[in-house]
Amino acid sequence: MAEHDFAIVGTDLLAGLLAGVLARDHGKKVMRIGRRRSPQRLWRSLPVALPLATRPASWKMVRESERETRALLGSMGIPDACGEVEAALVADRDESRAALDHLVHVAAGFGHQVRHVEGGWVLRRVAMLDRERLEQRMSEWLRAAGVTMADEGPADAAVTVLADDAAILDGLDEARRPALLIPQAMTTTQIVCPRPLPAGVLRFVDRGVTLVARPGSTVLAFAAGEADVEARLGASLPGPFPMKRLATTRYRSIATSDGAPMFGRPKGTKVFIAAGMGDCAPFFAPALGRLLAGVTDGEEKAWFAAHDASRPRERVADFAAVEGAA
Amino acid sequence: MNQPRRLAAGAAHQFGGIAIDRSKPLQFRIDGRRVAGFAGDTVLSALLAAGIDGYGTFGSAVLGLGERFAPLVQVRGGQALPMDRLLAADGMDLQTIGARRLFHQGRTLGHRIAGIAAPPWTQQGVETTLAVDVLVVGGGVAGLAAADAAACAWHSVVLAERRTWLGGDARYFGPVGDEASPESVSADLIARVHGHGAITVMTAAEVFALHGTTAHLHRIVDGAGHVVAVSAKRVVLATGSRQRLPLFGGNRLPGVTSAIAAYHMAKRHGVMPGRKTVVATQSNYGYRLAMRLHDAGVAVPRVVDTRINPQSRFVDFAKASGLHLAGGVQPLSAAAGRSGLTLQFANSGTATRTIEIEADALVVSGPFYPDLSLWMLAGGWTQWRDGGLRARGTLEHIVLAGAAVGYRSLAACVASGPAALAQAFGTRADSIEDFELGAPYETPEAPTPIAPPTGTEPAFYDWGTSLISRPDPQWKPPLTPHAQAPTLGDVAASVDLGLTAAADAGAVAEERGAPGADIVASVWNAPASAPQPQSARWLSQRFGDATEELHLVVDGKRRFMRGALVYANDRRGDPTAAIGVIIREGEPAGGVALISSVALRKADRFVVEALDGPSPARIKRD
Repeated sequence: MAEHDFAIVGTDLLAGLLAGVLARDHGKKVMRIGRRRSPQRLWRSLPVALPLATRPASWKMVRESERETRALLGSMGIPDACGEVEAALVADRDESRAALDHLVHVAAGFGHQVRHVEGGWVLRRVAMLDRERLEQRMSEWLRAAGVTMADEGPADAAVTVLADDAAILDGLDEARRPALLIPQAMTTTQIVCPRPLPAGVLRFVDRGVTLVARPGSTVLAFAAGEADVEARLGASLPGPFPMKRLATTRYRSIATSDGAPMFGRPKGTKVFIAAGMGDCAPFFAPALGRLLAGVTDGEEKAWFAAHDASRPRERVADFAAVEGAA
Repeated sequence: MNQPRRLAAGAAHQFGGIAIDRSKPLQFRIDGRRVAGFAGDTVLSALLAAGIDGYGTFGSAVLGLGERFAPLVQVRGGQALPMDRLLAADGMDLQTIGARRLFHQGRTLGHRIAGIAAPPWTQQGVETTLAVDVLVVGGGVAGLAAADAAACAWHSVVLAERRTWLGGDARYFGPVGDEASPESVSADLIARVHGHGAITVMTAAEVFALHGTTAHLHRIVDGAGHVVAVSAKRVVLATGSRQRLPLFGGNRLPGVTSAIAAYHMAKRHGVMPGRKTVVATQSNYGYRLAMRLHDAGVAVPRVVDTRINPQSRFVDFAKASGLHLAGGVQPLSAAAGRSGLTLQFANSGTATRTIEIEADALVVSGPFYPDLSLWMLAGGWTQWRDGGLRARGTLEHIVLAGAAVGYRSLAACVASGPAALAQAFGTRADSIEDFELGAPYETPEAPTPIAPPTGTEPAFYDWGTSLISRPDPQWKPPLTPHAQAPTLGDVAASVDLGLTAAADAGAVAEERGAPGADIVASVWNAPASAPQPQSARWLSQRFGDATEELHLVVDGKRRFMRGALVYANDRRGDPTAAIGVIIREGEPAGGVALISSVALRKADRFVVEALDGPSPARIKRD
């Protein structure tokens, strides 16, 4: 008999929120394995509820998850940890522009206000989590929920959940990783940017570059892939050039080659993975909690079933912007 | 001309200044003010000798001048040069670069500091390129020994030293037991290096970029700056160490200086920190400096030590010299007083004020940490070990030597030079014993003193240009904490304060300490085709197994936008209930829709929900 029902492995927000939800809302014995990253470290993901999805069912999940996450944060005593931001999606290729046209119509159908800009679209009032506020509150909340916490180490749990990209890359060797999961070289760079960005979040889907406005006239730039990183950044930033770089980190993330999230146990493994959710990952904590606790039903159950790691993917394949897979 | 901070020519311990020639006085102007000095002074040392020790204001904080923290200067219209590497010359007419108050006097240059820009030479083209076998960066004992060993092995060598002189910091620590003195070791090594024709020595030469084994350095020769590229087969980084800044409010005020800077300023240029100087230390070497300042004529009213009842030969000598010592005490705050600084000290680890002294200057001693800036710039890693950041991993053809590795004793630093060279060339090196002779009998040094917040003045993490300070609700820095690249000292202070996990310290240092070159404008064209065919993948089975393409219209004019959702006439509102989607605009009107075959059996009237509003639609029959 394992000591815990679940071991949630991961340092990112989803891992913490999921551990707390399972313990507090579903009465599970949970261990969270993963050291909190110091606030001085550069971000490796952007917690924003903006899926690169064209399928209505996925948008419905995200919008519902966003509503639930706001409620979750309220119950954690940090309702202001979810803010809103204008997010622009820009494409260079015709086929990507087509995907964005489809995306924004679905987003508008779920209540987003959108407007057309050169090369793409702007979505207003997109939910974005305040990572610092959440991280500050997380440990205390998890302790209160009865979650056991460890920086690292083996898990004595009935189910081990690899809840972020680093955990999957560390915990599943390539041979056991589903072929659809593509490791991606990533760079996050912080840059002095005296000119304001046209939107708080600016995502160039074909360049694999996402820019996020940060305090102090700075911008965080996420660049996927290893080829032409400098050229893609230089082409995406507003200038004036040269722009001073303040910090840089390189790491690997995981994307799915078909652009759709993937959940479940890969064949031949005993671990549960949650991958390919992109920027939306932390918002999935309430729904993933229900799935893991076995209390999901209706459309949600069907959506997770369709995205199961062992199922065919034709019905869920989506817009994939995988750059520089390595 | 008044030089109130100049020590007497015959001051004890050569604190009259070994680098200056008092028989050759000089005068120059800076921002219109006349400053006197002597041949051998740098512009910075002459300013400090004249009692000008303030850089300006940073928000509401007043900051002192120092090595690595001073405005650049230029002769009108000329090059921008660093005042700590520029030798003063008679008749110079200099202007400092940066925003400053027009009318100011007294001890400050009156700048309004709003961030320190990268020096212009980092963007300058290379004037000269040298190709050598070995580049040694750092002219301390380890670098000198490495250069000497390289030349003895018939290698051509460039030795680049940032300061205007060779020898490094070894002299500060003094001789131990029967070991040869740092003075004689340094002098011997310097003579050997100068005796080798194969070694090109460059002083006042700061390496600012390192790409593989090619370094770019900025060198000042005869008052002019030059950018030189040195392409080497091997690089030895003997970059030494830096001294941590104890954390207390007002720790960067004019008059507060590091022990190592105070030592060199006195020894090289005969400049004292202040007529009345308090020394605050956490190691035994602080006592050595205090005694020397005292012997040289500086009033030292108190030597405070973080450690309770420290044991050291230097402590005994200091007592015998009549110095007033206070153990278990550390700086609590410094504030500008009526005639200098008002210094408050507290029992170590408390906020209980025990001593208050008015003085001209406060010399503070902190632990030394390896200077790994170039190591990180070259792609090297660091990790937190033994209470500080140390180098981790290896770099191809680039090696570390001396205090940069973490060696502490003179003998180990000297031995590490040839050993590093051997490592660089893949040959066998002798093992190095790093044994501090006095250590068993002496109280070890304490960590960096950290005072509780006092809320009066900001407490900065480190010396230098990063200007990162302890978070304080009463002090709003003009720069966000990430606006300047942090030093390893900044990162270490953040760890000491519990703001950065020790396990993350190396990563933070790498991410922020060596962020990479500036980003330049670029044009990027998307590859002609997508990496994978995906034009219809995201529409695959969206509307069931069978779909049809149909041209929908409402009238002869309106076009339907691509992506607009198509609903059966009675099912609008929920996108999951859409039965189709417009995949391209129609000609001359309407749009071509992909629609579920199943749904088509039940509906022949539709609503197209576009962003510009809903529209009824029907199938266009040709």
